[in-house]
Amino acid sequence: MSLEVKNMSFSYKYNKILKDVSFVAKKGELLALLGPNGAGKTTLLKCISGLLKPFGEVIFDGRLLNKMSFKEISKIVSYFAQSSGNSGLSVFESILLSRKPHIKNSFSAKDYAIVQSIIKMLNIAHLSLKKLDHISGGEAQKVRIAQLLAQESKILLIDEPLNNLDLKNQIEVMRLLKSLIVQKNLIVIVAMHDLNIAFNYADKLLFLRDGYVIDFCSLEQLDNCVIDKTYGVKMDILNQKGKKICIPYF
Amino acid sequence: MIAKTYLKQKRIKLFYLLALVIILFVLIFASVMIGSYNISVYECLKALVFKANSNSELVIWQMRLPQALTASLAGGGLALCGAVLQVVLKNPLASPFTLGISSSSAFGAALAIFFGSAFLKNPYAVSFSAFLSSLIATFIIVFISKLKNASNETLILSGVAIGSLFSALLAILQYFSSDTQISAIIFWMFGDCSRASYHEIFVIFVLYILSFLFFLKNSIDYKLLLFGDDQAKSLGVNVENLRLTSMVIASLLSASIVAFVGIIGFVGLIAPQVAKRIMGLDYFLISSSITGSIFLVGADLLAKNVLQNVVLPVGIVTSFIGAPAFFYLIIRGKK
Repeated sequence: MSLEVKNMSFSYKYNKILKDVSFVAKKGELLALLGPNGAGKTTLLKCISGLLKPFGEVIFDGRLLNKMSFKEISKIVSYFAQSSGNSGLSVFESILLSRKPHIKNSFSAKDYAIVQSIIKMLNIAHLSLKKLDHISGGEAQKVRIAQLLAQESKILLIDEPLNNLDLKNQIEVMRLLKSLIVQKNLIVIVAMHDLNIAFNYADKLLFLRDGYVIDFCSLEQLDNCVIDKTYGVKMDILNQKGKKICIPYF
Repeated sequence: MIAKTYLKQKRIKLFYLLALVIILFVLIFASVMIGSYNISVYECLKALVFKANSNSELVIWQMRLPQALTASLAGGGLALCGAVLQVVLKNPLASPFTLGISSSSAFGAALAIFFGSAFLKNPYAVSFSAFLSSLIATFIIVFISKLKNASNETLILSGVAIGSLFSALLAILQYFSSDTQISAIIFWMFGDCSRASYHEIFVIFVLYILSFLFFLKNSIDYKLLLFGDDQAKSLGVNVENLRLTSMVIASLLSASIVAFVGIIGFVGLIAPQVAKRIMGLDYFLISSSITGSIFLVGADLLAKNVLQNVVLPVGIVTSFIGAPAFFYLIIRGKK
């Protein structure tokens, strides 16, 4: 099973943001979405999640996602924006509310049990009764992942989850995502900026610039000049203990 | 464990709600008892329960009880609309009057008074015209937001524009009105809970219950809006639709309240803010509504008794209490 994006284009009024984007993401894969600011990363995620209506097709399991209602899509795709509103809700309630696609009128005992098990799994029990605005950035990212899990969708689209996180938290969040992908057989697309983290954790890399796909490849196939083409920065890609690291020329 | 603690915390809030309801009933009882003709507790209970045939019974059933019920329903309804609008427009300053309800209904009432002689045979002419006029205002806003998009900015800005348009129309009418007409218009604009009889109370009650059920059905979606539009959409909420329908229903309810009792400011603005500070976001709609009822019944009680031999229109009192209360909330800051 896979997520297929075919010839996707999108414009805001006369401004073309995405130009003929196509790629395939398979189950159990983490796809890193890379590119400079304004390349169209967020727009691409919004188009896949149905928030924007692009030209082209988004197909999952043979079903056309971009013809579905919000309610239907929300059972298949979760999207997490760069920042979410300052809501005054408690951590527990915000995770519980993410069960929305699966409820009819009110939350059942099953919903509470699922939220509880997610909280346990992510080790955030100590936060659960705090208000969202009273926790740190790293904790907030974990809560956001908990919300994504509570939605129980097969595709997670995450927009820059590592923003404002220190090194330890960055690694923790990526490890967590990685283990969840394996456990639950998810498709995860993460827009991010740190190439080295992408090299370490991603299965596939999608390079975007000015709305065009510059390259879609695995780490092994990565060509040096792709980074230059995408970012306009010369980079050295070194092999270190079987891993790739990139270092810019200064 | 965590779920249990969470549910327990929520259950405690139910006691807060109960306390608010008790305060409301005490205030309603007090406003039935206290007035230029004082009635003792015993006599009051007797009249309410046994309908004993006496002077007090007449005063209570024909004057004070309908007025207290009107205050309670109007306050509750306006506060409910305010709470919903503050959530869907994401603006703590939103109230039923943000969308131009007050000036459009004032214009409608003034129009009926201006062309009075043809209409005045029907006692509901002024109310009906006020209601119709605010309906027009609401649908202009809906039309504009369908044309563009139903974002909160579009709605608020259209509301401001509609408000000033109808204020201008009202000013023109007043300019050409006679002295008696002007005083009738101004008298109508002072909100007053003693105008409604049991028939009107019944109409407001039915509309209140229907709107309340609609809002309650969407209460989870309102909470999801707190995460931001995109997040709410990705959880399956049809945000634009929800925002428009909520706005229309809140406008209908507040327009019908205003049509029967006139313009009562500040309740819809301040009651949700107070409720949020007491209760947080749990049961927000219910707590706002009850707080609004308490506020207006209390203000009505004051309006009747603060000056000897004069009954002030309650609209003046709410603004008098409302403004300093609002300052207090601003200075104390966000909790």
